Amino acid sequence: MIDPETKHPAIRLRGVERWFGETRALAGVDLEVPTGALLTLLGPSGSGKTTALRLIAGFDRPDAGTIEVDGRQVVGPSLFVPAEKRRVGMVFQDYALFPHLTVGRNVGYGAPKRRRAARVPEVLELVGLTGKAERLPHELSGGEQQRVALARALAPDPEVILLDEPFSNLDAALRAKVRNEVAEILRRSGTTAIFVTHDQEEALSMSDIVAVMTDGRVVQTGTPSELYLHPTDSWVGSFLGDADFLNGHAEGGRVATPVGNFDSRHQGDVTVMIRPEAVSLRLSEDGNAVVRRREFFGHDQLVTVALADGAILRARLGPAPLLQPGDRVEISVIEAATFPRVERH
Amino acid sequence: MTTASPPAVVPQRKPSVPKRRRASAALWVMALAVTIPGAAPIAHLVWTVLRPGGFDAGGIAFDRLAELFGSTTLLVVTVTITAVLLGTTTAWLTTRTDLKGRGVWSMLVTLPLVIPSYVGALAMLGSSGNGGVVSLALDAVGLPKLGVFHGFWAAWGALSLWNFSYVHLIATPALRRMDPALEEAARGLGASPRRTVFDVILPQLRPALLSSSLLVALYVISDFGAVSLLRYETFTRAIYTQFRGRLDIAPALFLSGFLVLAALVLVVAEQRNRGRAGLAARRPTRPPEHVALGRRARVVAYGFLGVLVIAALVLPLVTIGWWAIRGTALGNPADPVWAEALRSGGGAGAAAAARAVAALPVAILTVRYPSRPARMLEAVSWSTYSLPHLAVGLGFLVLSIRYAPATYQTVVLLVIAYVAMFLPQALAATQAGLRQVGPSLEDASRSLGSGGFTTLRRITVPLVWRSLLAGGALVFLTVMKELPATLLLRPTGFETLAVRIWSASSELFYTQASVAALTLVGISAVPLYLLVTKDLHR
Repeated sequence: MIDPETKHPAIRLRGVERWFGETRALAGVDLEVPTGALLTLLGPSGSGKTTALRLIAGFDRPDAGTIEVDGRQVVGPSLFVPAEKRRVGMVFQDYALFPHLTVGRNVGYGAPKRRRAARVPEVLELVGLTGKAERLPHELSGGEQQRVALARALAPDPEVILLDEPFSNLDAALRAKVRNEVAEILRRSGTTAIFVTHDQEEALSMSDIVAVMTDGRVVQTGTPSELYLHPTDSWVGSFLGDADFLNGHAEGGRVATPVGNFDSRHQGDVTVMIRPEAVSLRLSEDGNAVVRRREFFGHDQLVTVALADGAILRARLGPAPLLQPGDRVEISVIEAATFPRVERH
Repeated sequence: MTTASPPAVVPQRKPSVPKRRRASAALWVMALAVTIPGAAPIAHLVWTVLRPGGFDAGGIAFDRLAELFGSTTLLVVTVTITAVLLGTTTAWLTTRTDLKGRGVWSMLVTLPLVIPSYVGALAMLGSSGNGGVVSLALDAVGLPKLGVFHGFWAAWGALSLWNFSYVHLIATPALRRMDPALEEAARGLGASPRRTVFDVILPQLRPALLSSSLLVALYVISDFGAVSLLRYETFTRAIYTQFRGRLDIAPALFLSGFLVLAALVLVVAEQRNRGRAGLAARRPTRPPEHVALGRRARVVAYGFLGVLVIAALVLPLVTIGWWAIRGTALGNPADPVWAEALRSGGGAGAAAAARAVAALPVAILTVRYPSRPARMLEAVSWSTYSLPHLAVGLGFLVLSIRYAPATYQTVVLLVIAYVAMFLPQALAATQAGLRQVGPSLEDASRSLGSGGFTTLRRITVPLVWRSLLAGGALVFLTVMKELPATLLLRPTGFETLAVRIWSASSELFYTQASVAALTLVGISAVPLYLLVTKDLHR
């Protein structure tokens, strides 16, 4: 759990830059991870999230900026603490289990020598693999290998654990289950963790804090619901889930739109973001919108409607109301987010 | 977004040197330490020829140089063509036809590789002439005896017979990987079988044929034992004669430098071609079709394979076996060859072990931290390996006399030379092993608190251990057979099997030579068998 008593964050990045030749992978990343938190770096591929992770781990050097682990600087001007001295654990995308060592010896690899005998069974129990210490990695299932990798990273009692797309090698059915298990293990052990993923659902469902990255920068950091409901701009808004946008003008903390009036954190010309789940539709002869399209998914349906001024909104509804293209409907929107309008091309 | 714009308009400050993963200085020092000893003699030889006044100082008449160049070129060209024709035919017969026992035939035409060309030459001498095995057999049925095999035709035959297997080895997987759909597509578009061969099959085979031709050409230009024993004058034979006959080493050195320059052309061509051959590889959707041979064609095919196997494998083994047994039975002094065998094995083993260890830093450098300097380092070591060992050995000799007289004629120098010359063999195996060890394993070890050296000891080495062993075995095999550099660099009285075979057969002591040859073939057959079967089934 997040510990508000601690004065310094577990990890702090300031102005971190990384170039690969002419390509700028990180363009000044600032990030703070509170002690005990599960933070996810979420971004599309090529946004620099794995690069950031490797810099924190110490596998790579930044070209500028500073990194602190538990209040101690590990990267700074003319300072570079190598990976093996950082007390930062890592769970790799391919698990990187040592194929020539048993599960027990994999897990014990980084544990302090005198505590190894006691520590190995302890962490194996934590991840639910008691009794598998003598197996070789290839004799385990994908989910079990994942937990060995986690146990191995936990064994030296690191300040923070980094997980690079840890669930991408598991099939979809297994993923949600393993995800919950891993989050649970990390919370129980009280370890600070940074996940890297490009999967929005994964990020939103398991993290305390999500940091959204694009083009080598962290563009927004916040709790999953804060991010989902109040993105800083339309890019973050659409990246986190389906969203439609209307234009509006906010005054006195309120913005008026053809589908209702909403609270606004910003003044003047704003973009109003409406999520399909916040929209409900009612068949009505004198409704203000017309159904254009209907996609039926079973557990829900996505209905696209056009407003009188031509603007398009989508509504995610339960399977029940059978709406047809051409039906006239009344729209009501429970909530919306606003941000200052930026002209984009 | 700025990232998409051309670099010139990116507003941000750029570091002057882009940082990639960088190798530690210690790694570079180790890699250079094992590479430089191989590069120095070559540089010295090239300098001998190209320096101002080098030609005059060499003391070789232009006519003589032209004569040697002509005779060597003639042999290189004729042997290369013959070996490519033989090897491609055997590869095609054993992969793409419905002949019976294709796997066995493929193995049989690869086995001549256990016979070094100088042993082959010994067998040719021992089968022809007045007391030769074949002559006696012909005599027994009332036919005239064979004259002694000598000169161009003998050298051409020996080098073709004991090199074509390389072509077979390279062409076989190439033929097997060929996608039959391409041939069917050609036939479907109305091409005749003959046109299909020329338009579809041969172009796909070209990279394999080109690289095996260059390989054979390099072997022929480097060959010393066979041409010397069969008395065909090429560069290598001339160099050795010059070296033995005179106190002044300058002419031999000059000829070596010239030979190295000529071979470098082939080496560079081979290395360039190697890079491109990989691009042409295609994964077939299904195994190739087998062409049904007619009755006549089948008889011709069996006859061809049979004659080839008899000439390249059975006859030489029978000949040296016969000489060894008959000679020993008649009480000819065979002398125990065990001392030589032990020395050969010991020298080879020492070099193999040293080599396997030495290959590791270069392999790590080239696989984990690829960079232009690292690639150059690799190319340099390949050159040392591919260039004529007689010339490289002479380079070592001269450098050791000049700069490290204490090592002259010692086992130390010999092992250093072996290690330098056979670096790439162990390197290739070690690199392949390293490529299979994901770099994330090493990162994982670092993040668990192990430093670079501990990671190497606990993770990398245990995982590439098998590859190191394989590389070592390959070096062992090659060093066992190495003749020219050993002849030049060995301490007085240090006789290996190869040296014994060579000196005994030059003095016509066929019994002695044959006993040693049988031992050598026996010892080197096992690792070769393992390597070859792995290659064929790849």
